[in-house]
Amino acid sequence: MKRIFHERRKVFLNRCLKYSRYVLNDHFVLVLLVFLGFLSLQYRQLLENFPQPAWPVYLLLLAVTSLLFFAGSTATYLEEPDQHFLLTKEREVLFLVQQAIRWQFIFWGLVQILGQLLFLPLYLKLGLPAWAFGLYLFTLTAGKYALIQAKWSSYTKDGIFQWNLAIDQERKRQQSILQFFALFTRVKGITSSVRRRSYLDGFLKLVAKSSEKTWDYLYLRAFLRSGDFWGLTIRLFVLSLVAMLTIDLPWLATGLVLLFNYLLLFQLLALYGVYDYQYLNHLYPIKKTRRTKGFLRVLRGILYSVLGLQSILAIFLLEEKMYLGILILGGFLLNQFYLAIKAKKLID
Amino acid sequence: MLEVKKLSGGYANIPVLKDVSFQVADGELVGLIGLNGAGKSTTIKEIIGLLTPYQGQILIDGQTIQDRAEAYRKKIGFIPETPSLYEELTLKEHLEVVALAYDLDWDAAFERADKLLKLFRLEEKLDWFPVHFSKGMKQKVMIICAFMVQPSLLIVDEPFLGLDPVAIQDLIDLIEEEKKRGTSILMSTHVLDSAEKMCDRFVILHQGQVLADGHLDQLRQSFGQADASLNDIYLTLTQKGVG
Repeated sequence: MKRIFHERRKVFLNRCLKYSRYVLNDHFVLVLLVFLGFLSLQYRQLLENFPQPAWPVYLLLLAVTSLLFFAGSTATYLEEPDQHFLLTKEREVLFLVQQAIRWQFIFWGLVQILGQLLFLPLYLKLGLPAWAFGLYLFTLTAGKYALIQAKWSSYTKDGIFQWNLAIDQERKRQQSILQFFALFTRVKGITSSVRRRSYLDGFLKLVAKSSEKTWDYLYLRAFLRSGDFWGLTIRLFVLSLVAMLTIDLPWLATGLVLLFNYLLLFQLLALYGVYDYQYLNHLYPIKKTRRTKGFLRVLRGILYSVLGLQSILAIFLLEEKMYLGILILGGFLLNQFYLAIKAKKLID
Repeated sequence: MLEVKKLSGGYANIPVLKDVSFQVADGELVGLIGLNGAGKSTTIKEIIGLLTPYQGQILIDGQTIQDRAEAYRKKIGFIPETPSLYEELTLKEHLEVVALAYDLDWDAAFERADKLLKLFRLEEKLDWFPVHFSKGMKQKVMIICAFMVQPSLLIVDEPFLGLDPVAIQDLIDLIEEEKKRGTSILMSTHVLDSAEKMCDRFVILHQGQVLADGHLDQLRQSFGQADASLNDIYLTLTQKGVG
């Protein structure tokens, strides 16, 4: 029994290791190092020119503290069929879950302490004595212990192990890790959860209900409801806004916006295969080329809407209007030509 | 009318069907009977065009899929053994996709759909995601989608699994109605006593070949068992086939 779970952990960690190689490729490591250097420089400057009043620092510390406090989940490695096959081994499973809980506390407790230590200079600067910081750390660690214990007790109800809950949480945990890797590379075994999001139903009217547009009809709904396509679009759009708002160098801001649009395009390509599980699609009396056409229409609709909104905002935010032209031209080239090339590859 | 002529076929490297021939006339209900692995599902996949035959021909109303794939596909209504539903779509949207994909007349199609929804007591669930339905309710959605199309050939794979007794009777009535409309119907099933009552003719598949084809009386005569049920005949046939 222990071996099974040990094996599962090994398999999962190996997978993560494999994917992390794609994440930590040369370019990204370089960018990361530069970013870290930039952050530590900013940190030093913050310490040297401490802001008065200090409320932004309090806000930052509050954010960091709550982030570290609530971070982490239990790695139980339970799988769906376990509730059937291991039902009679409930006692052993409970024991393993308890062990996992213990590990969670040790690991994430340490992360919390180390994370807080990074901000020790800020605490001291705010006038907190060292002993009080020690007490603060202790309280946080105790709090984390209580939090994790509360979670442990939610796994059993009247002494019965809550299989559904535990399996569901483990699935969510693994999915969120895999989803992180999916930002960089193609990841197998990502199941997209579907949300109704009825507040987006207004967009559905944008596609006419005609036979030629059957695939548009399908793809638009997948974009709005399936997995993270919608959230991803919003996030990257907001990031591009932040770039335009906060970066004074117009070439850098424009470059970043285009980079975010490229990332968006790249991620949305996955929409093409979203209905692969549904074989009845192959039985519809529709020409095969309609699928590609519908896919491209929907994707361009999304990408040009994003570009349109960015351009309108750029009119107000970018001081040199030349960069507005560059943004529109760059976006056009991406959406028109790069997408066409990518889509062709995808479909072959 | 469905004509399967000297069909050999199967998966990329696994031949399953050998020289299979049979017909389903307009307004006829033919039962496709066989053990697990006899080739029923493969036959169905060949007909609906998910697999391409190695040899032989499949014609619906005289047309092959090679002639004009879209026109051929439009003639088929298919109720699969395992319901296959869109995770992203509500029940209503499933019906709309079918109407769009088959280019159905919108009002007429939804008039039919409404009747079926009421019959299967699903009219209150139009805005739900059917992937979360029970097996039987999912099956009902597939049934409604297939009947909405008003196909020329209706293919039904194990239709009764998971349906409640009321729904089974409703489906039997629907199939009867569809037959009267002149639809050719091919039904694959293991439920032999229902098949015996419903079907006009039987095609018995065994190890990828047609072992027998005919009315129950014809089968009884050719195997010399005057009062035998379909079940008896079937057992004898397959034992012979194995031996």
